[in-house]
Amino acid sequence: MKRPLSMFGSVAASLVLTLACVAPSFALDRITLKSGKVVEGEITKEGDGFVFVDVMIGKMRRAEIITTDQVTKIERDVDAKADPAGTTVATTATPIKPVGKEPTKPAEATPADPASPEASTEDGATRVCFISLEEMVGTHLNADALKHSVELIEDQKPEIIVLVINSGGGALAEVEPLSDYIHEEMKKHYRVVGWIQSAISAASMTVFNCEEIYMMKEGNVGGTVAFQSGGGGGAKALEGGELEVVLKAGEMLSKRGKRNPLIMRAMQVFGELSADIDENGIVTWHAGTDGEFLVNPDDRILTLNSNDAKKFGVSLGTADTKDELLRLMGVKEWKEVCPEADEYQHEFRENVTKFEALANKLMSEFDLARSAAGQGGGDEKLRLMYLGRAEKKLKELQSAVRNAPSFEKYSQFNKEWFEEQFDQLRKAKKPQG
Amino acid sequence: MNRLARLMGSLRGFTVPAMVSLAVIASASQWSTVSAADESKQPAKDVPAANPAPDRVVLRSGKIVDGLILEETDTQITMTVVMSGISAKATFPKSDILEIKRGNNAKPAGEVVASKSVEVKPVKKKGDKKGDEKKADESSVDEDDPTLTRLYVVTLKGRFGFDIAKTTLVNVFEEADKELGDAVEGSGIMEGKTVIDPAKRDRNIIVLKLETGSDGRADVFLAEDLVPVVKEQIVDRGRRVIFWIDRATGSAAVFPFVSPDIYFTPEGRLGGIADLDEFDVGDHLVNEKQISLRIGHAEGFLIKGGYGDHIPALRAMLRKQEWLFVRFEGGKPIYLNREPEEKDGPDWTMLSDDGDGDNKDEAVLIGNDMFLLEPDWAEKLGISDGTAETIDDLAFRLGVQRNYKAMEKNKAQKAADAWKTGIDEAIKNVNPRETEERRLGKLWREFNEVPAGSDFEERKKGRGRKTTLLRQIRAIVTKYAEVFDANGGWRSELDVSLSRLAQEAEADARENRSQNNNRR
Repeated sequence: MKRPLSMFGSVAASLVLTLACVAPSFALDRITLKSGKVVEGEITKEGDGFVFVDVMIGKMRRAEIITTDQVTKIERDVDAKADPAGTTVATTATPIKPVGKEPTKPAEATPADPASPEASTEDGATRVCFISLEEMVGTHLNADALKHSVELIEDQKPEIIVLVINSGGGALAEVEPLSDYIHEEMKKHYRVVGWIQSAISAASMTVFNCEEIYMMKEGNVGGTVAFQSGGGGGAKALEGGELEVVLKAGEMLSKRGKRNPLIMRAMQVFGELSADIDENGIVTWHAGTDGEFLVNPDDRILTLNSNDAKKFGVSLGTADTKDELLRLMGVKEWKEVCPEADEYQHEFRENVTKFEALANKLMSEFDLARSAAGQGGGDEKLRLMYLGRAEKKLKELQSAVRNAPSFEKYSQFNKEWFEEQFDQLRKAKKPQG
Repeated sequence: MNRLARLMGSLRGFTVPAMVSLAVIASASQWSTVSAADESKQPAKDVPAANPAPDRVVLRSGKIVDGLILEETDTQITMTVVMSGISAKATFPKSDILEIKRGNNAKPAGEVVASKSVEVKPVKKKGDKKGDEKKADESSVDEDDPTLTRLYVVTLKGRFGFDIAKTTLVNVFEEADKELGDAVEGSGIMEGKTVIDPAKRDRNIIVLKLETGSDGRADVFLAEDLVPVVKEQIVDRGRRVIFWIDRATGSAAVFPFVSPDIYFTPEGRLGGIADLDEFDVGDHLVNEKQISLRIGHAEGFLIKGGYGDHIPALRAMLRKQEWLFVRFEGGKPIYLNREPEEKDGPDWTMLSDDGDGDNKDEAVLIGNDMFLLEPDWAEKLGISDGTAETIDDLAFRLGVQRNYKAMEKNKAQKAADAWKTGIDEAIKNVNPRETEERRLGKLWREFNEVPAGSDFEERKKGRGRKTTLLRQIRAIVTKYAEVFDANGGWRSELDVSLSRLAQEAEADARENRSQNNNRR
């Protein structure tokens, strides 16, 4: 029950290597990609939609796979480019772009093509921007804030944006806008990479948008069960129509990231998941236990660690430092740019955290003043004084919310709530009795 | 998806139900179908005390492997190492290797001693303890001797996450820096910070002796704040930090995996991380989500520390239902989290069962339903570098017994003890709830005993006293906020109480003025 290899596209085909030189003992074939890149090595196997090519990295021979949709020309048995010094030259590896994401004009440099000399900095280094996305999806991590970060740096034209994810999840409702922005806007202009420290629940759905995922050693991704809090018996997983919507969303996001939807499904609901890995590292997924490797038993929810994510092709590699990451991404020389994008995220999260504390304080003071007004003991002046104080605190709270707009969306402090509170205060101010 | 706007997907803030301590779980190895206990005790008799310099391979994980290189190809290196007294071949892909140092070792395979594929260890002979060591008497130590190794020992005792908190570790390393005087200015990514003088890294070793468990807060997230502190020391600053485990249970069990150097005491125990099967914050699916993400986090700790091969053992520590079988191939443990089948071949040793049906142990605290790592198996599996009862033993194991100084009464120990004492005192003062184990805090008892007062002046005095007590409580909670009130909720409640007192005072004063006016 093997899936057609071509369906694996860019997920399995992790890296395409361009070689400046190969060892003399190597039969040399040359593959020219649509991006203009040239891969030189020995073609060992060809199939429907893919080419396996052995390339040399230093003295090491390594099998790589290229999907044919990337290829414009294959030349066989060409002469190797000789290195004047007679030594091998380090290779530059560049991930295959997702199908359909090739620049429409391959010869023209685009910001999303880091290998293109025109797209790099004057010193030839690829421009890379790191944006950290942390804490609660919705309040601390959302589409609006990400959009603001990206807008800040548009003029600087980074080629790669690395989203550094460390989130235990949050509001499911934010997954759609966040994912849409990454997929429909960011990917058009940048090579977008997810680098995971922790991506749980809503954060895992978000990062599955990215064709390129890398993990830190400690990284984990999964635990994507959607649930409702509160009520008797604690949190309750979604069922019925609501669950179907979430499962469909998982499927859609998996497809965007060119991943088999079975993986995300095993993170969302119970179900066995197994996989085969062939001699070329191609992973075939099975709903059930037909595969050689049982990835998830039927009574478990899947969270992948960095080793397993790499083994089963969910991540393209494991890196703990920026240097390691860029090396894995095949970027030989790079330069970190646009720090303001990440600075904004830090500032945004700090504001939200500050707001949380302030909101708690103001809400308590508002409650205190309101309850004191109710216990005025017949002293109308005292009652009005407390109501006035309550109104003042409510206004302060409203003002604070303006500085943390994500709370308006994801907490009780929305427009309707404020209107209701002000209305109640107005009514309470009317003479009693 | 927008119709699901109210749904939240995280439970990180949930309190994990208290777990039963597993500190006294019986040896997992007693259930083994194959005993290999004696193997770890085998001395490599033919190894001289002073080894020839072995070949050394430094792995990207931070581990150092000493042994004899047998074969080298473009892609891998095969070498002989001795693990737990057993000579074995081990192969390392060059992609995992950072550096290869050739020794002057021309000995045949089997004569190079290493452990856990990690360290060259001298072999300690019976009665050899006090032999030609040059230790102990600190006054006799030549501090300027460049060959002197300092073992800076700090015992971390108490409840993991409380008595041993992030601040404890920060203080410990700060004091160690000062006392050892080996911190120098860093460069590159460490510019503006200090690192350990490269010339002294192998000579100044911090030994963290663990006597800790998590006391009912067995959540792997407890380790999340502490692990990075040690990791920074080891990875970023080049400080050699060794864990010496007497007890590391509950959340503390994942903590030592941050270091490539782990040793056990003879009574050492590591495991009992949490019986995640008891996790209950919602329905089955939600619970499994929470369990799954916690396992994912715990596994990350092991991978980060270079113990990724041992994840099946961790899984058996985390859940009763996980089997753990092991066998050795080329000296390396191969695990199964299920019962072996015919296709898996022979020689499997059961370390824990699934705790189900006939396998269910009668008592939670005794049996092999969950895997608890003890010294012999820790060493056989390659998790521990060895077992040491005393610091002398540890020095032997580290190969520094000829010239070392044990620094036990140090400032870092004082700092760690001071934090623990402070926490104990704080709990005595601010514990907000009377339980069978613990009295209501002294300050709260005083607060409750403040008389209400029958007139304005008495009430005013009472409110003043209550305000003072609440402020004292708040100050203590703030000082130890990382363990008492990480999210600030307790302090918010205290602030509300203070505001309420102020409001009462205001109303009472107004009422009093009104009464006085009426009297006039």
